[in-house]
Amino acid sequence: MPVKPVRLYSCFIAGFLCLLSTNSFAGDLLHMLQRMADADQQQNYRGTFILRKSDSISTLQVTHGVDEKGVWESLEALDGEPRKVLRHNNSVISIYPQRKLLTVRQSDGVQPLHQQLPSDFNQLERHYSIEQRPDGRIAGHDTLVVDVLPRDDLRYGYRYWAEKDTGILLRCDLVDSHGEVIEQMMFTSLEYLDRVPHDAFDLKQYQQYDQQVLNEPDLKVDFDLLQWRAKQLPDGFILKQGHLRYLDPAHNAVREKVPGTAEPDLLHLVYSDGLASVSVFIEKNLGEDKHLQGGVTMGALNAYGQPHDDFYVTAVGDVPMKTVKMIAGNMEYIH
Amino acid sequence: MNNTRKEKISAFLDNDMHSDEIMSFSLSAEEDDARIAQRYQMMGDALRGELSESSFVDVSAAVREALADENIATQMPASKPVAGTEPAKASGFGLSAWFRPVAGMAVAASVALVMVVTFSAQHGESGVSAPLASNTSAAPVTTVAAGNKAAAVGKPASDRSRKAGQEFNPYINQHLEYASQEPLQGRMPYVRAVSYESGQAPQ
Repeated sequence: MPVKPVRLYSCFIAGFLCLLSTNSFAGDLLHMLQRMADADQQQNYRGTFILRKSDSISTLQVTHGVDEKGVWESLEALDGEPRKVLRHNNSVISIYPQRKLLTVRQSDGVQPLHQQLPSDFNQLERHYSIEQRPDGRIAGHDTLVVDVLPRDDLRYGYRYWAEKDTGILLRCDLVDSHGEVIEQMMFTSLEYLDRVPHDAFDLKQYQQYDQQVLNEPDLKVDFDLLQWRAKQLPDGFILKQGHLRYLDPAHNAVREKVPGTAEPDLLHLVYSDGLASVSVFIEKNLGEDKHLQGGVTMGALNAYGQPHDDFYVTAVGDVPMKTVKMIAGNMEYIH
Repeated sequence: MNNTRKEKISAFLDNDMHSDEIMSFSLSAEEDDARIAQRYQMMGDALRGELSESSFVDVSAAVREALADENIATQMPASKPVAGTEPAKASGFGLSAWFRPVAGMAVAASVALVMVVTFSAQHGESGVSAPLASNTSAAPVTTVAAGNKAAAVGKPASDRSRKAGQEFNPYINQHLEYASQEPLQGRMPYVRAVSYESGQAPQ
């Protein structure tokens, strides 16, 4: 039976990590990070965690499971307006009980919950230092602690607490260049389950809700044909994805239009250094009062918008403000 | 609806439709197709004993998958520019605003249209509820584009209140969708999305 390329790739990664782990301290840390990335492919659990940002704390419950149909996950906010997000592989369903509203989004091309570390670890280490810290204890579970800290001030650092036995991420601190915690996720309770709790993913009780489909037709783009490029990017950031989308909702009702007239009017480019990512949205300039001007901070996310002649460029990312500003300002239309 | 049309819908759902036929089928999508497709899907689910499970099958996604191998812009090799063609800017604002003009562009545009047509048709009428357990997206639903961001981001930068996050939600969601692919991000992008969605449900 032919071996699937994905399996070969996984074997290669596992072998590479194993080799590293037996020969170097750095390998141990990378092995731990890979276990952390893999943990959600192997465990069924339910837990409660807090999410702390600079100006707020919220409590959420997570239910996670894996079966032959894939990975299931439920995230439910326990304070504020009731809301719940269900994920099953590439599908994301958001539920708003107070509004009796349910939205469905299905993402093409998005990796379904299972994630692999970048194959080029050296690339990651060029821009982040990876260091082990003294073991910790979160929600009654012993943890290994690893810092992944940037070597410049154009990206945030991460401190991970992963459960020693299973690798589940129990705490994650996002820190800025001054060591200030910008965002913190921390479990307060964790219970392992024998199997997927399917009752947590039953949608029957919501069948009378209004249903909105947020799927958006889009086209992946050929980078070689792009008329746009970034003149300058932070070291290590490369263009990972590009999509064409529709800005105007009217295009979702083009059945009455003449074929061929509906063309995408929003370009979405994704740049990443293998850990942090920045989205750049380019659209028609509708006038300054119709777009975000300058910067906005939302917890770990920063956004910056500025006009570019007949276009408007907006950069959004889990990176410092100076980084989104730099990227937005360096987008260039190639004449 | 005639039997031929029903047979085509059935063939499409059963993956029995030839790839050449999928595009013409999509382009000729009719209002009733969504209801027929939903009924067939429910019947299929029932026969397989899967009606009790929440189904996440998206027929429009199936069309997109079927078309993925056909002809999309990603698969068009870079070729020489068409003589005399100037890149369109805001006035035209077509694909040439994003790409160098090449022969493949017309194909890309037509495929984009097919996707939209399929999406619209398969979701049928607005505002009518249907059992979600049978088929989430084939059920008649209100279709809301994730777009219209220009209006959504109309606040000046000086307003850094939480409302900025609310108005910026479409961009945030699109960004977090792709941020979630980075392996060490784990569920954090989705946690952020749930957090930001507080009180921000689509109106």
